[in-house]
Amino acid sequence: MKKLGARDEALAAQVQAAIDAGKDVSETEPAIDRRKKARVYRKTVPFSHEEALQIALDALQAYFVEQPLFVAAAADSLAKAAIGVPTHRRSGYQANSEEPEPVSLEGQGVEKAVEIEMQTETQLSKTGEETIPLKRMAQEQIDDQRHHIADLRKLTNFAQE
Amino acid sequence: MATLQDLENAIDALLNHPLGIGQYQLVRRAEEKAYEAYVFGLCLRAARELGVIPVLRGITGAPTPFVFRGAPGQIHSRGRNYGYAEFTLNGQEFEIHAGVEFRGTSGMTHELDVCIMRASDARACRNPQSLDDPHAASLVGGWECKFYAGNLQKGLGRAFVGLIDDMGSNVRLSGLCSNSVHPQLRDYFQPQRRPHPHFHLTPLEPSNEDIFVNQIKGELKKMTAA
Repeated sequence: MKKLGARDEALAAQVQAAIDAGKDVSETEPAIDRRKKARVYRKTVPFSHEEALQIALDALQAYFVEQPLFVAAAADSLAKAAIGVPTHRRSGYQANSEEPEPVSLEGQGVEKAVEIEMQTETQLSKTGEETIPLKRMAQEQIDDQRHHIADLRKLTNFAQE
Repeated sequence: MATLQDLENAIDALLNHPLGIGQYQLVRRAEEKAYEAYVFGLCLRAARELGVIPVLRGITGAPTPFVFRGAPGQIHSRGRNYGYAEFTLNGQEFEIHAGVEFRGTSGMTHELDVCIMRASDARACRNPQSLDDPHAASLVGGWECKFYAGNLQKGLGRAFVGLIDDMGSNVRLSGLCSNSVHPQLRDYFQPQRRPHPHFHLTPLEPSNEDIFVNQIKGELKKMTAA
């Protein structure tokens, strides 16, 4: 955590929060009276150190592996769709019509440029970029990170030692 | 036996990688939206697997680039060339949107991270002579999308149950999608008419993606059957 905190405090805080959330366990309280059943109740307890390490790795995996995979999956799906280019200048389509707007289909099977809006419509202070591109990362790089996470899981699995 | 140095080296390899800390600093501003884009893509996949070609559209013209809203917005908003998708199945037209606000049965507006709705209603709401929020009955399926690096928060599930309840009885599909999980929320979503818990919905779990996509395909098929 120290190493992570030195590189990025916000990420370290996110990982720490995931660890500090703890976990629910079922506790059993033996019945004093033999005619009654043992009482089972829920209790929130801290993670063990080994569990906490795995939770930290889950959190890092979410950012370093899953995020690039979300972008790649979205890019794949959008690439397989077509782009509808309005042709109403040619067809005389009225903007206030509730009929489907005539379009020509283009770009099916072609990677699409995708952007996320950063400056929202209702935002008064316009600072920074208006949008940011959602860029696909190389699959080999994602695989590298998956291996790095797997290596770390092995190194922190003390049960096997 | 692994040494402390091995562990430090492995951590360095992870953090110093091009998809490590540097990448995190680039994407963290858009992490939620990237997850929405992923779920939006799964809806496109469902349409595709039903044998139709989804068509990407923009509110003001061809969607180049395809822009995802950064905050909840109105379906007719022309603040940017926001993207959506449309498809026709068995003669019925549908649209897929991200971050659009609907008017619930109570009159209160609700944002749906990703939704499938009737296209005729969407067009009516975009008509310059009758700009409006889509009404609850126009919604076919709605999903809350949450990217979490830790455990999901229970409050998200409770809020989404309330949202879906206000969307009336025409909604055929609803779900809370997350790459994470909350064991109690899974139980909370068990009763009928509650949203489906799409937990661990991530490319790392292709079977969960299949469940999500197949649910959409099944409902759309039933809905559009002659």
